[in-house]
Amino acid sequence: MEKESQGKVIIQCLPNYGGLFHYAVFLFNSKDEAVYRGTTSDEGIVEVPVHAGDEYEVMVKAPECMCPKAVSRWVELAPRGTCGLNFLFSTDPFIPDSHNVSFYFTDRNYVGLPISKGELYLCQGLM
Amino acid sequence: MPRPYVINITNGTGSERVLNGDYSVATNVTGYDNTSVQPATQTIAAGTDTYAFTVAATGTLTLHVTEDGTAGGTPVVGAAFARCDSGGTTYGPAVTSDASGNAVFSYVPFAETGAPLIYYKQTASDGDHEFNPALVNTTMTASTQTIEVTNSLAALRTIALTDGNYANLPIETGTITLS
Repeated sequence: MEKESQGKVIIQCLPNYGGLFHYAVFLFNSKDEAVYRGTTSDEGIVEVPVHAGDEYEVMVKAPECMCPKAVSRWVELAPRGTCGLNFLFSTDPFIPDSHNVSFYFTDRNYVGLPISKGELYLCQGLM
Repeated sequence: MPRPYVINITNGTGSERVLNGDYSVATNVTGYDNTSVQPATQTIAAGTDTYAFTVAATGTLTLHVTEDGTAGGTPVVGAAFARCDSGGTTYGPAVTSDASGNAVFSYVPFAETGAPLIYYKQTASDGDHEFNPALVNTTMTASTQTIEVTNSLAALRTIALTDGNYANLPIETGTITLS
């Protein structure tokens, strides 16, 4: 049986002002079948091994605070070929990165009684 | 992953610039049960700039009301107290002394060191005893604590009733009502 030749697509996602973000990467073949799902490294890079000799759609979805929200490119790979794709993302101008938030902290058993002194911690990724 | 946000709370409020997203919530409040914070998760969303949280304490403060302010004194039944903030505003239902003279505040904060002040004031006695209505405070270093409170018997007063047109002519019988 003849071994299929294998190439790769190197995808790099760059934010316009720097910082570390993870981007979701999808690869679809000419039959519109998903052949890869993954995320980029902290530096925004991922190498996707593919079977050459087909036309592939590379789709990248950005984090919520970036735009465009998603972008696609089509590539046709030669046998054992390597293709490099760069995608540039910027801060979504219509969604503020952050906004000033007020917090109210009271005693549960004495409704409205303010907590005189303390700290609240908000942590992402632990829910 | 963004860094955790630390919001310093003073007198019930704090503010911070926070990215939209889903967060788990934790607290550090001396004297309270930090595992009791609610809600335990919070979504910060665009367009919503105010969020409220609560936390609970587990201590018990007993006010023992007697005529002489001692553990063995005559209990005063029906003395009412309210939990307050430092400005004297009351919160929660009033507590009233029972047949043993005990009025109990449940769910109050305590800590070996650094416990917050607990403000309270007496709002009524039983009608036959004097009381001090001033705002007072205490701290609790243990989960239970008893404070002796004095409600003295009302002083004996002499009331004179005389005829308005014949100076000092006593009214033989009658009643005066003070309300």
